[in-house]
This record gives sequence, C-alpha cells and structure tokens, in this order.
Amino acid sequence: METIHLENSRGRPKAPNPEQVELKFSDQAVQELEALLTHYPDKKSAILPTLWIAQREYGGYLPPEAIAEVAVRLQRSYAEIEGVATFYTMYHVGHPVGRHLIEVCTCLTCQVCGAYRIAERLKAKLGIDFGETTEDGVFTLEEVECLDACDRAPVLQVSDAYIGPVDEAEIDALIEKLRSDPGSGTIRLADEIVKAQLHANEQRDIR
Amino acid sequence: MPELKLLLKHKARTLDEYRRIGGYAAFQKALAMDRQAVIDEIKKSGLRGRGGAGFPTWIKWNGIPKQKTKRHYVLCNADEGEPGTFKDKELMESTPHQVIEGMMIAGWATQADVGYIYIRAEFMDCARAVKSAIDEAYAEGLLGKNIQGTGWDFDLHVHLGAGSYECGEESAMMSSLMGERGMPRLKAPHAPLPTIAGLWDSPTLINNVETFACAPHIIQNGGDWYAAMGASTKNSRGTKIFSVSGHVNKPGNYEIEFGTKLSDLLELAGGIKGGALKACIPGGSSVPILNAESVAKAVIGYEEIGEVGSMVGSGGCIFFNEHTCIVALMWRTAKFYMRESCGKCTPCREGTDWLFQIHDRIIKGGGRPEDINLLKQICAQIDGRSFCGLGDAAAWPIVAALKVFPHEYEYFIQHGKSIVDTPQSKLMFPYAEPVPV
Amino acid sequence: MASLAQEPGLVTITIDGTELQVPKGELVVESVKRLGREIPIFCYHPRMKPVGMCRMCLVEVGMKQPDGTVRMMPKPQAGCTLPASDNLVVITDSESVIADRRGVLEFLLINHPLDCPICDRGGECPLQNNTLFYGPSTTRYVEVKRHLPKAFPLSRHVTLDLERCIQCGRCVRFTEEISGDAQLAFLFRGAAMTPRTFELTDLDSKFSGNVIEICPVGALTSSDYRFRARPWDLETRPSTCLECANGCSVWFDHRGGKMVRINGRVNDAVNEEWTCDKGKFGHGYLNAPDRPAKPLIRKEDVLAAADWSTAYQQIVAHFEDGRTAVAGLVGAKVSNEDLFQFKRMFHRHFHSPNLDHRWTRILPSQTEGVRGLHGIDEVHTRIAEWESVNAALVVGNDLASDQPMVYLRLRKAWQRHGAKVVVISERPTYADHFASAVIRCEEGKLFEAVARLSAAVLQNREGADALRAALKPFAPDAKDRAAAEALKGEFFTVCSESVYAKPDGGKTVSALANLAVGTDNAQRFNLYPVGANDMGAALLGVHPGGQGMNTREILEGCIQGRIKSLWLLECDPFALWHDHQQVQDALENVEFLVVQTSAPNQAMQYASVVLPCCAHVEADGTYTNIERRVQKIEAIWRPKGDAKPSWKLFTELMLRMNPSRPIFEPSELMEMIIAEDESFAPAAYHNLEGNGACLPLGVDAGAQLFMEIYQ
Repeated sequence: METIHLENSRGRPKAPNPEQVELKFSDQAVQELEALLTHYPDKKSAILPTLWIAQREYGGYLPPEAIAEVAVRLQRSYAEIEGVATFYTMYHVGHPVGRHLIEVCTCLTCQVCGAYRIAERLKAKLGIDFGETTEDGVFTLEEVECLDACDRAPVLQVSDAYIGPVDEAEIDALIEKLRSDPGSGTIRLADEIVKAQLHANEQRDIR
Repeated sequence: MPELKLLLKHKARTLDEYRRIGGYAAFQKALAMDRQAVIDEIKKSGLRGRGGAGFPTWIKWNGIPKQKTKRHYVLCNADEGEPGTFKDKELMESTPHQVIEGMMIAGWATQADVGYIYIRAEFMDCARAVKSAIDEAYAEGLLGKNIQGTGWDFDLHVHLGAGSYECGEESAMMSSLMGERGMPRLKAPHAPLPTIAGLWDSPTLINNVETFACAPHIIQNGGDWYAAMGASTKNSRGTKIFSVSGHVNKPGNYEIEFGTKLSDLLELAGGIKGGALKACIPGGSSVPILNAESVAKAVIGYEEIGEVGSMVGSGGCIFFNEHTCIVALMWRTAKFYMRESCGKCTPCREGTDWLFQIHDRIIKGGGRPEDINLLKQICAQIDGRSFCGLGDAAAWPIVAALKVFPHEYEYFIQHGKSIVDTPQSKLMFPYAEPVPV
Repeated sequence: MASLAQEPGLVTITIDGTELQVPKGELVVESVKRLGREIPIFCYHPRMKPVGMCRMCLVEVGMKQPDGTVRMMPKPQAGCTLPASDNLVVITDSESVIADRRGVLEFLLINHPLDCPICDRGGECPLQNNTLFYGPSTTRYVEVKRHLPKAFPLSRHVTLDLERCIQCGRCVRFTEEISGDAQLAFLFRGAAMTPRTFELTDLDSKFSGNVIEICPVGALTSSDYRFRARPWDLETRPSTCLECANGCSVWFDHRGGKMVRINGRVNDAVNEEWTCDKGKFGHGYLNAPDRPAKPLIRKEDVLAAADWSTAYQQIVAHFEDGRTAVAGLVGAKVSNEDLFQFKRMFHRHFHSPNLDHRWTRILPSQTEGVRGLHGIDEVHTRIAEWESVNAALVVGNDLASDQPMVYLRLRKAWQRHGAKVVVISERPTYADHFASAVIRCEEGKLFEAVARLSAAVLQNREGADALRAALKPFAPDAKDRAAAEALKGEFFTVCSESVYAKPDGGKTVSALANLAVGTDNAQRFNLYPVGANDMGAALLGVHPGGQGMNTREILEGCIQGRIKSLWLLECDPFALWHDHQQVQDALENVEFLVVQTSAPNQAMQYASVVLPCCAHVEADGTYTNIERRVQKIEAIWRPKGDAKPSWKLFTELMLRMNPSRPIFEPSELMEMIIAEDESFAPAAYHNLEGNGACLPLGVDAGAQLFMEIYQ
C-alpha cells in the first residue's frame, strides 16, 4: 500500500473535469471497446475489459490518467474505477511494472515443492524482493497465490505463459532469455486478454 | 479401482475433432427434446455441482422461471482458484467444446439469451482455447441467431477476470462480471436466488466448468446411465475429476467414479514420493486436512468423505509426505486467505489477517502456549459468521490442523522450530531458518 | 400463545419468544425495534440499501414448522438484511448471539486505535457504545496494529483518519446511493481496504457533510468541528436551516454562545435526515466577532454607538408618512412575523408601497408572473412527493445547489423506480448522471432550448394546436426528440427562481409554464424560490404589488433622488444585486439609510443608522419553505448585546408613531396574519409543533397559455 503524505493545506487538489481528461486510447482500442460493450447490457459491466485495454494502451500499468480515461469512456466515477482496479491483483495501479513480470506461486503444493527456494534464487539473481522492479525496468517479481497448475509445481507465470515445474538450475537461462526479449510481456498479456474476449467477427472488423 | 474416464476421455481442441468423438450430438438431441425433459434427465442423473459445494444441479436448472419475462443468462464459473485444483483448466484446454456444449444445453433448457464464461485471466491457454472454440461454434451456426432453425438465439462471450480468488464465489463472480469489485452479494434468505435475480437482476444459471461438461454426457446417454455410476455411495453419482498434486509421483488430473477409495486415487497418481504419507487435503485448500490413517479409510463421495471429517470440495487433492511441517503449511494457507479476503465482512477481513499474523509469529519462533486456544477461538468467530463461504473456508483448515496435528503446533510453540526437522521440510519456509524472537 | 389473526400484507414472526405481526419483507433489525429492543449495528443505515457487511447484527434465526417445533438455521444471520417472512423465529439475546457480538467487536477493535480521548467521535461513537454494551473488556491481540495516515484533509470540510475506519462502507454507499456523486470508493481489498477519493483528490461534493454524521467511528470528521468540543459539552437544540428555501430540520449544537456544528435532524417530509454542505457548514456568520451589538448612528463620518431611543427618533423623523419617498428592501432570512410587521409598518405608518424581497435581475410584476400570465400557482409539488414521480423536467441552475432536497428525492425516484429525468441547463449539473436526457445549451439560450424541447414534446401529443403553431420557429433536433420520449405522459417540472437572474429567465419560465399547461401538466409545475423565506415574503405580500417600486426601481429611485430614505432589512445589496455600481451609487446617494442586520455587511458603511437585530437562532419565528411548510424556529441563545427581534423593533417603532396595544409574542402576529389571509390558518402556533404545517399548494385560477414570448 502506498504512503500518503500528510499535507498541512486545507483541502486537496481537485480531480479533473471529465472534459479535461485526455483520451489516449488508439483507434484500435476504441473499436475493441465498442465491440466489448455489445457483450453486456450496460457500460458498467465493461469496466474489467476496459481496464485491460487501458493497461495495454498505457504501457502495462494503470496510471491515474488511465483510470480517468476508463471512467470517462464508461461514464462512471473516477473513484469507482480506481476501487475496481485496485481490487484485482492483475491490474497494476499507479506503479509501472517491468517489461517482464515474473510471478512465483508459493501456495501449498508449490510451497512443499520448493517454490520459496526458486523465489530466493530469483531474488538473488535479480537483486530485488517481491513487489519490486529491477532498476533497468526489465523485471518485476511478485509472489502470487495459487495459479492452479499444481501438477506443474513449482510454477511460475511469466506474462501469458506458465512455466513449470521449474528447476532451480533453469532460472539463469530463463532470465537471460527474457532479458534478450525486447518486447513487453506485460503488455502482451493485457493484449491477449483483450483479444480473447473478442469474437472472430469482431476482430475482423477492427483495423 | 481404476480411472473411469468420461470428461477426460478425449482430447479434442477443434470442432472437427470434437465432432469425430460425437460432439454436439447431445446438443442436437436436447434441441429435439422438451426443455423440461432436459432438466428431468439432469435430475435423474443425480449430478451435483462440481465447484465445491455439491448442490444438486437440477434444482438450479429447474429454478429458472419457465415463463420468461426478462432475459435469462447462463454463467459458467471458470475462475478456478482453489489451491490444489486444476481440473477446469484441463477441461477447457483439452476439450473446450465439451464445456460449451454443456452451456448450450443448459441455455436451451433455461431459455437463456446470453451465456458468459468467466475465466480467470491467468488461464490464457484456456481463454484462447475457449475463444477459438466459440468462434468455431458461431461459424457453424451452433451459436448466434436462430440456432439450427429452432428460432432460439444464444450468444456466448468469454469474460476474463483480473486476479481474485473471491470471484470464484458465485455471487462475487456476478459482481465482478457486472463491473464491480469482486465482493459477494446477498443470498437467500436475504435476497432472491440468482435463478430469479442474478446478473442484472435477471434469472441466471451458474454452474462450474465440470458441471457443464457433464451435461452432454447425461443428455446423450440418459440420466439413469449416469446415475448408475457411483451407485455404491449414498448420494454421489457419476464421475469426478480429482486434481492430484503434492508429494506424488505422477501429479495430474484423474477422473474416478464416486465410491473409489482415496488411497486408490493416490495409487493412480503414482503413490507418495520422497517419504511416507503424512497428510492429505482431499478437496482443495478449504477442506479439512486428513492424516494418513484417515486417508486409508476414506471413500470418495460427498457424504462418505465426511465420515473421516473432510469434504470433496473442488477436487483439489494434495498429498503430503512425512517431511511436511503442518504449521508451515497452515501458515501458507492462512496467508492465502488473508491475501484473498475481499474485505467486505468483519470476521473474514480482520480474522484472516489475525490468523496469519499469529502463524507468522509462531513460525518465526515467537509462539505462545495460549496461541492454540486463541487460534481455535478466532476460527470459531469466523466460521459461520462471515458474509460468504470464504471466511468459513479460511477457518476450517486451521481448525482441522489443530485437531489432527495438535502436537505439531505445541512443539513449534515450545521449541521455536518445527517438529519435522529435515532438510526437505526447510523448503517450506520463506526464511532459511526460523528466526528466534 | 395463540396466533393473532393475520392481516393482509402482514406476517407473523417471533422475536425472543414474543409473537408479533410486521409488514412482510420488513428487515428484522427494524422489526425488533417494535418491541423496544435493539440489535447493534454499524453498517446498516435505514435510508440506504442494507449490505450485511459488519456482521454486528448477527442473530439466531429459525422457522416455525407446522407441528410447532422450530427449525433453527445452522448459521447466525445478519438481522439487517433478513426480511420478515411468515413463521420466522428470531433470537437476539442467546449466549451464542452475545458471543458473536463480542467476536465481531473484538475483530473491529484489533486494528482500531484506542485514541478515543482525542477523537471527535468520543462520547457519541457507535463503536464506543457497542463496545461498552456488547464488547470484550480486554484484547487478546498482541500483534502490531495497522498503521495508516491520520488527520488527512480530504476536503475543506472533511478530515479522514484511516486508522479509525472500520470499513462499514456507509460513506461509500452514501456517495453512491444518496448523493450520487460517487466520490468515495473502497480501494484495495481485505484488511488493506480503505475508503478514498480518486487519487486522494478533493472530496468535491455538495453533500459531503453527511458522511461525517453517518460514520460510526471517528474516521470521517468535520474539519471545522475538529477539537472544538466534546459532545457532552454541547447543548443541542432542534432548529431549521435557513441557507436555502428547503427548510431542512437540523440539530444546532452550541457552546458558550457560539454555534459549533450543524447536524441533520430527522424530518421525513423534508430532508429525511440529510443536510447539504451549504447548510451544514454555512452558519459561520453567527460566530462573527463583529456582529453589531448596539444601535449605531452616524455622526459626521463615524458610526457611533447610541441608544435605541435616539435611533428610533431619527428613523421616525425620516420615514413617518414618507410615502413614495421611502422604501424597504428585505433579505431572505427574515421570519414571517418580522416580514408581516415590517410590511404593516410601511403600509400603515410610512404609507409606502415600496417594498421588495426579490433580488434577481428579472422582477416580474403581479401581472407578469406565472400566476398573472398563466393563471396557475408557482408551486404544486411537495418535497416528499418528488421521490414518487415517474418523469421530470429539470431546468436552469443545478438542482442540487438550488433545491438540494428536491434533488435527493428525485434521484431516489430514479434509483427506486427508474424515473425519467430530462435536464436542460447551461452548465453540467449533478442530475446529469441519472438523467435519461441532458440538453446542454449555451449561456443565455435556456429559453430557446425549452422552446425546442416543447416543440418536440408536442409532436407526440394531441391537442394544444395553438401552442404547437406558436412553436413553429423552434425546430427540435434529434436530441430534443430523444428527450421528449421521456416526457410522453405526465411529467413534473422543476425550476428555481434563480432562473430570473438570467436575461431570458422570464421567457424561460413562461415557456415552461406553457409546456406544462399545453400538456395538461399544470398541476405538476413548480417554480421554487431560493432564499430561505422568499416563499413567506411572497405570500405575505412583501413586494410592490402593482403600486409600489420593485428592487430595481428602488435602487434607481435612490440614485435619482426620488427615494430619500431606504431601509435594508437583513440584506446586503452588494451580495445580492447583480450590479455593484448601481448599489454603490444608490447607497451613496440616498439621504437616509437604515441598515438593520444581525451580521456585519458591506452596506453598513453607508448607513445612517444601524439597527442590530436577532439572527434566527436568537428569536422565535416562523419560516415558510418551498413547499409552503411553515416551520417554527425557537430562540436558542440570548441575543448579542442589545439586539432585538425584528418584529419587536418594528412594534416599538409603531408604538412611537401611534400608541396602541403592544404585541408581546410572535404568536400574536401569526394570529394577525391568519386574520388577514386565511390561507395561513394551518400555521397557527399550536399546529406548529413537530414538523410544522403546510399551507395550500397548487391554487390555480384557470390555466392559460402566453404565446407572445415566442415572437
């Protein structure tokens, strides 16, 4: 949880008027949103998918401007959207995450199968703790709850793929492979999530 | 007893493959049947919900109003999140059409207009498989407008979550699908059932992936045929997929007939690995833990497994060998529930946090003799008092662990270290050595 | 016990062994109150949807079986969400229930800082009270408590202390369900869940003060009231808010002659129990240090303290029989009795009709107003009726600012049964978010917008051919036609007199009245006043009434020298009139200026005589709100210095001019009002206990159209 700095001033800065919010979604994103809206009877129900679009459009995380844009596009209050976004662990609200997000499952089966050893190894290799991002902005390491791939314990999630069972010895190679991948797995995951919710005909219409 | 494969019998990712193994024949059959007859078949089958609670499926199907005044919805709970469970994942990845066909049969029987399949966003392989299956089904006219000339319209959408265990609870899933924080909603007797007022206040049928996947088989072969399986049990019919993991030689999903012994399941999974069997969580992290003695006695069935004090749950069966520290295991369980508690109600929000903090102190060597009683009382203050089942589920494993393995807690508290003092057991701790306080 | 005979709509339930009948579906937490019992609560609030979050209200529940046995449910149930149904059995005092309450309180307290001695809520804190009655006396929690920001200034009015929050969600639900601005939401989840504004920006709401009152702990406190007093040091008296014309019931907390805070008081007819921020935080002037305490008389260039007699002498000299050369202007916070006596003094002793209470740019005469042009009353709908309307047309300034309680009721109508609302305004308004159509027009184009919508509405209707023809020049666009869909059948119109401040305000009002008349919705037309007792002033005839000069003419008269003496009663023209220069010229030029006021104002520097009068909390009096509800306000503390109730001051002056029987009580004045205007009969003082009494509404003379505005 972030730190709030106490201020002596009375009152706080105002949130922007909806008209002042700069809308940055690409044409593709706008079309995707329009298609997704047809899946639900109201705009509110599209909050989760729209946050995914925003996470992709804003470079893998949700800065306040992204929250504001989603709120304006769906005609909801900023606070509501921020409340929804911060409820779910896969939205990265406020803080940028690395190009590659390595999520270590340490829950029960993975725990008994040595996930903490894997985690320690990753921490040492990357020089960061859980919840931190490497200085070069390439990796973020997270401890996650059960990924439900216990047959592959200990398991990692890297972007949109599960890797497991992970052997301690493979970690160095994995890190090097990821480091040499210039794309952002974090953005790719958000993109895949958006695309998986669109029907083939809807995708055809988007250009 | 060997495996009895029904849902896991084939792998058929594409529509062509699925048709080759007789796919969508059940749906065609259902379309020719009276809607009520479809529901009656489900009733005859004795199918119970495979998500964890084991509620009779037909009651939900039958509860959707027959006189339609609003849109009807079908919602597939594919937010598999229970630690130890990965059966829905395999069902969706290997044979997505089976799940879709089940949803379509349910949709037909309940006059639904739209179906959603709510998949956790981590399961991208599932999401892609289901999405491409839905695309194929649309292309073949199995979904969409005027399906097979019946005049019935049915749309099916994939909806992905965003990381929340609580969304697997059916009312929280509805909240999440409607764009809210994934918090549970009021249930009967405080509010109408989802079958009357679910998604957007309209009648909504919610079933688990595995439950839907059973429907085509029941319709195709008849409810009586299905009910014949598991006949040795009191009230559990058909087959059940168990996700077996932990210290076993061949972790994976195993589909067995109800009435199979738990020890047979262990055998199917290649037997225990790395030491003697010590404990088993037979149905996902929420269900009470069993010791080796109980595992030997346990028969798999909703009522039968209750005789040894546990539950079928979601079928996430984790076996543990003798190098497992139960206190560390419960520490991790408590952490899971603390991190996944939605925060809506006081007992779960504060209680899970407290349970974790006490465990954390104990495994760091700071346990106090009174902690055991305190843990029990906190659990009692959560169990049955929380808004939804997540609170109960957070309390049960700890209550059971304190009952089945009390000496492990006592030892840890007294000595500041685990009774299981082997190199393998050290793996379970995030701290290389328990740090004495 | 034999079952009672069942009445329709009622169900028989048993609470702690007592059988009783309650409406079907009533929440158990409410049913229990019928027996004089209580279930402790935190998150439940009777005016918001129950959520069952805090679990404080857990009770044991069972169903009585046909054979007389009771089948108990395996788990305790939340009493705040459980609807009463036949044969329900509720146990609120078993050992298990008592243990559950202790458990919930223990959980709530593990992370709650025990800073009660420095907490504003201490002494009136539901958490303190429930802990005292139902909670554990010690804690078993030895871990480190949660640490979060304290004393965070969430807005100018509201301070947030996250450590104290017990996550009941009342504040979040208030902004979502009641005020509708959704400014607060829960962020994060589990034990980290906290209510916040977006990015901790300003809590920018017209109703934010309510969250302070409904917070069951000291998490949301009033920035103004912080550390000012302990609840037990305060004297609490019922009063009525005069910051606008809604007349909300409030609790007035004072200490040592100073107003300390305002809280909402339950009044189901008006404000339910809410306040708006304007009212809750707007009474600071009562504490102004420089409130006039003695009459002041100008000697040379300086205002010097004087006695009443000298002041009266001068006033009589300048006003008595002043005829058309004297005039009076009145503010909004003047009681009916004061107004009546002021008017009597002007008419009987000064023989002047030059009186006005209106300060808008447009000041229609009796023949130009709604009643004159359209033959209908200005007001037809009571505040509480707004929550059951099905369709409404909202025109002009933000309804939430002008008529906050009408706004809350209308929003409730939308939320409860989907009322269709059309908003026409120049700027964004609070009602936009639930309106089925919003017509945003340019500044100064309200009239055209109303006319175009009128044309669209009439396209769907039979009759009113003449009006339709007159509206020919106003071609509706697609948006107007879409909006007209919502106004197909019966609809209510609401507009405030603040619209008269706009250049086209008069035409806008007339166009609205035409639309209402032309669609048979005249009985649903409303043009509400904005100032606290504007309605009283209008009903009592504190206006020129066809013979005298109106506000504009009076100010012009002062400049031109036609008005020699001017009396300002509780009003500051600099704050009220749009043309400052005109005010300055008028006040500089007028020979003799009486400024009668309870608080210092800018006009005082031009005064010949300043008369200190009582504010509403210092004198008894009645006030008439927008729905013509006459409510009595009683004096709460003694007047400042020598200040007098205005009516008393006028009475004394009148006695000087014409010795007669004096008046001792304001109730006598009300009797005189009633004698003069029998429509005031319901407002006799003996009827005014409780929530006051309503005067007749919707007194229509015969509706008619007025087409000239369209030319």
